[in-house]
Amino acid sequence: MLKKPHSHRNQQLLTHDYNIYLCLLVINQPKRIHMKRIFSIAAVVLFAITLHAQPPAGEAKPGDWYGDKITADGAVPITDAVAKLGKDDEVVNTKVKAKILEVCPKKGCWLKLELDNKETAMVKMKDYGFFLPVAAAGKTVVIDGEIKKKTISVAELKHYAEDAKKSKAEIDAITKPQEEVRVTAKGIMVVE
Amino acid sequence: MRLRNIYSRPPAQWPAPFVTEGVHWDELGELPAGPLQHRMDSLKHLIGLGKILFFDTRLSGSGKISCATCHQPELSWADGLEKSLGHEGTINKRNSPSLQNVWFYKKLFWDGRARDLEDQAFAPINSESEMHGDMRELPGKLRRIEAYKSLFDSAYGDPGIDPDRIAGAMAAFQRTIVSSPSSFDRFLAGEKKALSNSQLRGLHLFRTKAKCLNCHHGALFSDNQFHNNGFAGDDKGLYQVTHVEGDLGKFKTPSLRDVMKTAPWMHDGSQKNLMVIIEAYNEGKPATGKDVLLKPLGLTRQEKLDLLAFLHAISAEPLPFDKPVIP
Repeated sequence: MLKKPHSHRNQQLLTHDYNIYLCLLVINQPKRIHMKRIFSIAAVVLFAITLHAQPPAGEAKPGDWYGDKITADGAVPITDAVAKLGKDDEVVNTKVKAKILEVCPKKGCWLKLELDNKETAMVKMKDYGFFLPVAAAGKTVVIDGEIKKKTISVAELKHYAEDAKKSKAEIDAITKPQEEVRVTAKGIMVVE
Repeated sequence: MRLRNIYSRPPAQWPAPFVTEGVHWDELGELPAGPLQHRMDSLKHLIGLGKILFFDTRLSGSGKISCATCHQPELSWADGLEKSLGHEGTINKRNSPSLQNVWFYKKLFWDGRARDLEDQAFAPINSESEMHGDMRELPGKLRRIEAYKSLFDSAYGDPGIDPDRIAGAMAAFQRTIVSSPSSFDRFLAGEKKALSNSQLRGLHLFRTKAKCLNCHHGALFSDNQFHNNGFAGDDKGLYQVTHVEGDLGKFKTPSLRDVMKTAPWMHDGSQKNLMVIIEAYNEGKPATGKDVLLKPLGLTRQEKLDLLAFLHAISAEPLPFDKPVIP
């Protein structure tokens, strides 16, 4: 069942395949490994071998689309759309053009978009009815969906910092709430 | 009765089924054990953690919805609704499938957009219309619940919590959810009287004249593929994932095990009467995009009833299940 990675299979799967080899190597030296660790390794191997060959995850070439099929007509730069946003949580339907900075690496489950002030916008997919391949990172896309601002309170920010194992000094330095732009995408098309 | 003697022989000696040329098929068979059956003890902490997470409503944004809201053990791990109800009663797009034997599927969701259970778990949690949660924020939320530290420690060897570990434990748990043996399994195990005459005729028709094996074959009665069976409605199904024209209206072939316990049927829960479905397959009306495997069958009224009787024979009550105590 342990097949060699094939070039046409996507990066995520290659990573899993790599895990299999790695874990098998580790299992060959059981005395040095805590039993719990062996169980968790066994679990990883088990999950990895239950995977099946997948079609390519996609290259996210210009013209490729995800979710609802949309056109680029009438898309505005995301910064323009953000500038027009009113109060917190006010939802605006819009079509924006933006660069993808990051695709949630394991599952293509969310995206981060570039805003010009070094801030980022967070994108979730409507109903989670579609996913983007990791290859979409760095591409410019048009997104049709809803956009809103959300203020993250100091308390929440401190929680996140704790979760990210930041130092006490860094956590104490958080004193101002932060605004985050959130997009719910109905359809996404790669433009460049 | 002659049919009873024929089918009392091992499946390998059963009459050849009517399967359309070019279709790869496997013979029907006894209910298989789940893939973790022999590892239940060594993986008990991981599975136990997944079981708790599966029932924990704190995974949702409102704190009111867990995975078990739409996959209820006493309802054969489905919810009995046409379409599931999500965040604040939002009606979801598709029907909640049973999780019994879910380990078997190569792709998850009706349209196959997730490649494994680990992948799948992100969607309902993150979806604003389903659980309305957030996988980015969930590890932090769980870290503040003291009991989860030791649960993750036991499962993974250290108390770290992250989205992949959450999804991994729930996936392991779901791979342990299986059907209980049906009358058909007891018949295969040698209990000759486990099937009624009508059910036996139904078994024979299922394999022959009704050509059900074209899609519903193997021990779990599914080819693990995608087909347009004419019930797609305006849902594009697999096409939405592949963008291949020929995939329009295709959905995953569901296992027929426990089918009589998992009404309403089809990807949208639109079908409330199985006889209507059997009738549609019997008519085999051609339609744009509809699978060419579907042809008129010429079944009589009695034959349709026999098929229905066989579907009862492959349906069983869900296994007894103890819900976990949520920490």
